[in-house]
Amino acid sequence: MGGATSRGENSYGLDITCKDMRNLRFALKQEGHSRRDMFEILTRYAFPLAHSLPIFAFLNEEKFNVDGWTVYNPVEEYRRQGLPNHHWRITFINKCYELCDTYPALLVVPYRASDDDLRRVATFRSRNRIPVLSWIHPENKTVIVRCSQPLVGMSGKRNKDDEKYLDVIRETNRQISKLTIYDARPNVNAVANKATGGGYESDDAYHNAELFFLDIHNIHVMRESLKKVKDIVYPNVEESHWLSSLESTHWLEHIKLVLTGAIQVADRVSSGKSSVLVHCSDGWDRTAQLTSLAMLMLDSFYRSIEGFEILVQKEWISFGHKFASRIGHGDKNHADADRSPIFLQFIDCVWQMSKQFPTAFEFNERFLITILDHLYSCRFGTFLYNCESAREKQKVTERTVSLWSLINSNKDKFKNPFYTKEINRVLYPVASMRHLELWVNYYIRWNPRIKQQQPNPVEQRYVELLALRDEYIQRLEELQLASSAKLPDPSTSPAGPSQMMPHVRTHF
Amino acid sequence: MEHIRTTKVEQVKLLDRFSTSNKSLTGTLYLTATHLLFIDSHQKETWILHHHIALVEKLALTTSGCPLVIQCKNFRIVHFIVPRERDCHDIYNSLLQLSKQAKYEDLYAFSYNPKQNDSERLHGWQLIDLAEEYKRMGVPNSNWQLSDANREYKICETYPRELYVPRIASKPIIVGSSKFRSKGRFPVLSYYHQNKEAAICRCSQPLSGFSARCLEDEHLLQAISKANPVNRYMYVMDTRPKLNAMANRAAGKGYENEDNYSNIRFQFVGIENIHVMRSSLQKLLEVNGTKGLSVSDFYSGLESSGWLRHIKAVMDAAIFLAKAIMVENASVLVHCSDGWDRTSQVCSLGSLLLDSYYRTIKGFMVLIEKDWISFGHKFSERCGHLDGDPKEVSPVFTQFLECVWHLTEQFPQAFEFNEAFLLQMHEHIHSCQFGNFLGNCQKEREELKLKEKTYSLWPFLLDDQKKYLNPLYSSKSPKSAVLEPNTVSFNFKFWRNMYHQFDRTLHPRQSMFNIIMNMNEQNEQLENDIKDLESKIKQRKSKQTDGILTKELLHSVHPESPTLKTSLCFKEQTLLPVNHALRTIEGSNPADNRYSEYAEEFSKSEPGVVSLEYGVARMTC
Repeated sequence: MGGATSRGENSYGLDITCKDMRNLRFALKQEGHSRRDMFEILTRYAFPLAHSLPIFAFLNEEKFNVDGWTVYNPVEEYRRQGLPNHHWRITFINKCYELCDTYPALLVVPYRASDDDLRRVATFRSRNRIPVLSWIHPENKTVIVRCSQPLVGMSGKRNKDDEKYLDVIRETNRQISKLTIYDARPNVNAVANKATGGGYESDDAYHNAELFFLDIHNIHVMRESLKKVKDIVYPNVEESHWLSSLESTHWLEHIKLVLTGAIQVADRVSSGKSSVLVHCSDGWDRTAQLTSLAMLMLDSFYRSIEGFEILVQKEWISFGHKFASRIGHGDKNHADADRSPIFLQFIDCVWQMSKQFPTAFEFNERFLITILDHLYSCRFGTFLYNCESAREKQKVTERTVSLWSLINSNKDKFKNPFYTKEINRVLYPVASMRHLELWVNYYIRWNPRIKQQQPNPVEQRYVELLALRDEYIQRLEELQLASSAKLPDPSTSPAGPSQMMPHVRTHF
Repeated sequence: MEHIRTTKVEQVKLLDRFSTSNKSLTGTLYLTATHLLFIDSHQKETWILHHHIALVEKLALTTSGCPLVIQCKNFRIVHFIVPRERDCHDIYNSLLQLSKQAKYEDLYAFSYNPKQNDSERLHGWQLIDLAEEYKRMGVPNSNWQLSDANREYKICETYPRELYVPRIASKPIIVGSSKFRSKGRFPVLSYYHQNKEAAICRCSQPLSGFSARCLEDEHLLQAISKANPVNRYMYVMDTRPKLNAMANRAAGKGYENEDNYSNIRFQFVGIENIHVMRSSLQKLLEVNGTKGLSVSDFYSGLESSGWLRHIKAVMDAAIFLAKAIMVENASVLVHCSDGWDRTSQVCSLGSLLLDSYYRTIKGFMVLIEKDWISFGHKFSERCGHLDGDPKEVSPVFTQFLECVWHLTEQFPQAFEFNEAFLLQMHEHIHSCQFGNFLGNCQKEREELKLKEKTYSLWPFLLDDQKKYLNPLYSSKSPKSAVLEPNTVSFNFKFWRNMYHQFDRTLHPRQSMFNIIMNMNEQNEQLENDIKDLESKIKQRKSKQTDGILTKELLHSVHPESPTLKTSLCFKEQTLLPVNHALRTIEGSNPADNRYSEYAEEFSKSEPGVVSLEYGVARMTC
C-alpha cells in the first residue's frame, strides 16, 4: 500500500492508493465512526516501520518444501562461468563489507590487481563501488564489469591506480582493442555530476578506453513517467487520445533506451570486440538494468526459472540495488524522492523480450507478475533492505522466507510451455518503438474493462497438445510391449522390448 | 509486349528499408509481361505482380545509380538502384504502362492459366452458392421470399439477380421503393437470424431531400418490421456521420424521417466516407512507411492518421447491429449513401459477430461473396484495377479485413482461419489473378464473361487450406456464441503483419502457431500409429494359432517397420518447410530446437541406436 487517507471526495470512506497502480475507494456507513479505527489499524500495518512494528516477512510462518535461499550461491555461479581462471580471481576483501558497504562479500577482480590496488581504486569511485566482474564470455573471454562513477569532480581529478586498474581489466582477454565504457546517463547529466564530485572517464586520462553515453534518464524521470502511465489507465483508460497519451508518458521510450543500451553491451561482448565497463552514478540502478539485461541476452542459463532467480539475486539484490529505498517497504513517506520503479522497468524489458522471443524463456508472464507482486508485498524477505550487509545484520535468510521458495515449490505454474532450451544463442531484441508495447496485462490488469484471458489460450492449447502427445507415446509403448511380450520366441527378434522403447520416442 | 523495352538489367541493388544497417542486395532485375522479378546473388527471388504496383517513382540520380521506388498495394515498398539511368527510365516507363491497364481484358486473370479444364473451372465457380447460403439461414420461409423483380437487372443494375424481400412486399411496392432510393438500391435481406427471426437488411439512402416522401418505401420498411414476429419496431442505421447525411439532403438525398415511417428507430453511427478513409491510410503509410521507421513519435503519428479511430467506428457500428438483434430482437436496416461501402462493412461484420459459420474458412468466403461481391461493392474502382478515377480508390475492404483481424486477436479460438488467410485475401483483391474481384457488380461480371474466361480464387484457397488453419480454433467452443468485442482504446493496435508484412525482423506470434501446428500433426501421426498397432494386435489375437502371421507381426514391430519409418520421415519433413510456407522469416527455428532437444535427451540413454536410427530415417526420406 502506498498511502491511505481518510478524506473521501463525496462520500464517507477510505481512499487507498496502492503501489501496484491500484486505487481503491471504500464507502462506509457514517454511523458509529467505524472509519477511524479502520484507518488507524490500516496505517499501522501498512506502514509498520513508522510504528516500530516488524515487517510482515518476519512474522510470516509459511512453510515450503523448497528453500529459496539456497538458489543463489555466488561461488557456484562464478564457477559456472568458469571462474576463477588465469586472469580473474575471487576475493574476500569485502568479507566484512569494509571495502564497500553496498557490495556483496564476494567479488571477482583481475588476477593482477592486488588487494591494496583495490583499496586505492575504491577511494576514486563513488561509494567505493569499484569495477568488478559481472559476467565473462565463455569463449572469447571478454567481460562485463560494473562500478560507479569516478570521482573526477570540477577540477578533473585523476587517479593513476584507477587508470591502471581499467587497463588491467582491458588486458585480461589479451586483446589490443580499447576497453569500452558505457556511461548509462545522458551526457549532460554526467557533466553535471562533476559539480558534486562525480563525473566520467575522460579521454586524456584513459587512453585505452572509449566512452559512450547511453542517455538513460535518472530515477526521478522514471518515477514521473510511470505516474503518467497510471494517469492514463486509472481509474479510466484514456479513450480518445490513447496513443498520443501513451507516447507522452515516455514510458516506452525509456524502455527502448534501456534495451538499446543493453543490446550494445551484449553486442560488444559477444562479438569479442572488447570488454565492457558499465556505470551510471552510483552503479545500483541503471547499471543493474544494463548488466542484467545484457547477461540475459548473452547467457541462456539466465532464461531458465532458476537462472533468472540467480540473475536477480546477483545483479540486483547482492550488488545493492536499494530495494528498501526505491520501493519504500513499510514506510509511510510515499512522496519520498528516493522511490523509483527501476526494477519494474527491468521486468518490463524482460517481458518485452519474452514477447519477441516466445520460445527463449522458461518462465511465463505470470512468473514476472508474481515477482512484481512480491516486490511490494513484504511477504518474503527477498527484496527487503538496500544491500547485503544490512540483510546479514538483520539475519534475513534465517528469519524470513524467500520468494523463490514459493515459486520453486510450484514451478509448473510459472513455466512457459513453448520454452526450448538452447545453448549459446544470443538474443537481440528489436528495440524500436514499433515493436514495443505497453504491458497491458500488468499495468491495466485492475481495470474492470480488461478481460484477461487466463490462462492464455495459446499456451493452454499447447499444454493440451503436449499432454495428449505424452498420452499417445505411453499408449504406443504399452502396445508395443504388449505385442512383443506375446511373441512366442523372443530370440528371433533382433530388438527386444528394452531397445524398442526408445524408438517410439525418437519420433520427437 | 509492346510496353517492354528492357527485359533484363544486371547489377541492380535492392535496399531493405527495415534493416538498420542499410544493407543492400545486388542482383538481376527481369521484367516479364506480368511480373517484375528480382533475383539476388543468393538466388532468392522477389516477385512483384504488375497489378500490385500502386506507384512508381524515379528519384534523383545518385553516384551509385538511379533509384527506382515502387510502392505496392500490398504495402510492400521496394527500393532499387539501377546502375544506368537509361535502363531505369525504360523500366519506369514500362511499369507505368503495365501497372495501369485501360481495359479489363488486359488484366492478369484473362491470361492466367492454372491448368484446369473447363469443368474444373466451372466447378470452381460453383463452389460458393448463395442460394444454398440463404437456405442455410432459413429463407425463404413464411415471412421472406425470393423476389424475381431484379431478374433482368431492370430495377437495380448493381444488385444481384436474386434478392430476398418480405413476403408481403408486392412488386409495385418494390419498384416504387427502388425509385425512391439512390441508384435504385431498395431495402433487401442481407442476413436472417433464424433463432431470433430478425433480419439485417441493406439499402442506399432515400431520395428524401428536405421533405419528399414515398409511400411504397414506407410500406416496404413496414413490411420488413412486420416480417419480424417478435419485435415490431426496427432500427434504421445510417452509417454516415450526421453532418454528411444532412449535407446530402441539399442534393435531394438524405435520410429517413422518423415521423414518416411507422415503428422505426433511426440512428447515425458516424463512419467517415471513402475519401476520408483514403487519406487516413495515406497518412498511416507516411507515418509508418518510408520515413517513419526510426522516429520515436510512432504512436502519436499513428493516432494522427486517425486510422484506428475509423476501424473502431466500423467495429462499434457492427456491435450496435449485433446487439439490436441479440438483445432487443429487432430487425435492422443499414444504409450509407449508395449502400455499397460502409453498408457492406457493417452488414458483413455484424453477421460475423452473430453467426459462427462465417468464422470458418468456407463461411468467410460465403460472407464476402454475399455482402461484398454480389451486392456490388465496387472492387475494381476501389482497388484501382484499371486506370481510372483515383478519387474512387479507397481501402474499404482492407478496413473490413482489419476489423476481422482485430476480432481474431480478441477471440483467438473463434476463427477457423489465421492471419495468413486474411493477408492472402488482401493480396488477391488487388492481384487481378482471379476473376472474383474484377468488375464492380454482378451485371458487369456477367458481361465480362468472367466465369468462362477467368478462374475463381476460392478453390485455390481451399486446396491450400492447411496453410490457413488457425491451430487454436476449437470446434468444441460454443459455436453459436455471439462475439462481443471490447472496443477499449488499447485493444486497437497497428496491424504490423499487414502494413509491415515485408518487415523481416520479427514475427513472433506466427512461430508459436507453427509449433502448435507441428504438434498437432505429430499427434495425428501418433494416433495413426496407435490405431495401426491396435488393429494388428487384434488381427493377431483372432488368428493366434497361425504361426506365419505371428512372424509377420514380429516384423511389423521391428524398429525398421514401415509405420515407424514413415513417422520419422514425416517428422523431418514437417519441421523444416512449414516455416517457409508462410511468408515469415524467423530469427530462430524453435521447432527445430525442440526436435534436437528431444534427440539430445534421448541420446543420453542410447546414443548408438539413435544415430543409426536417424541415418535410416534420412535415407528412406
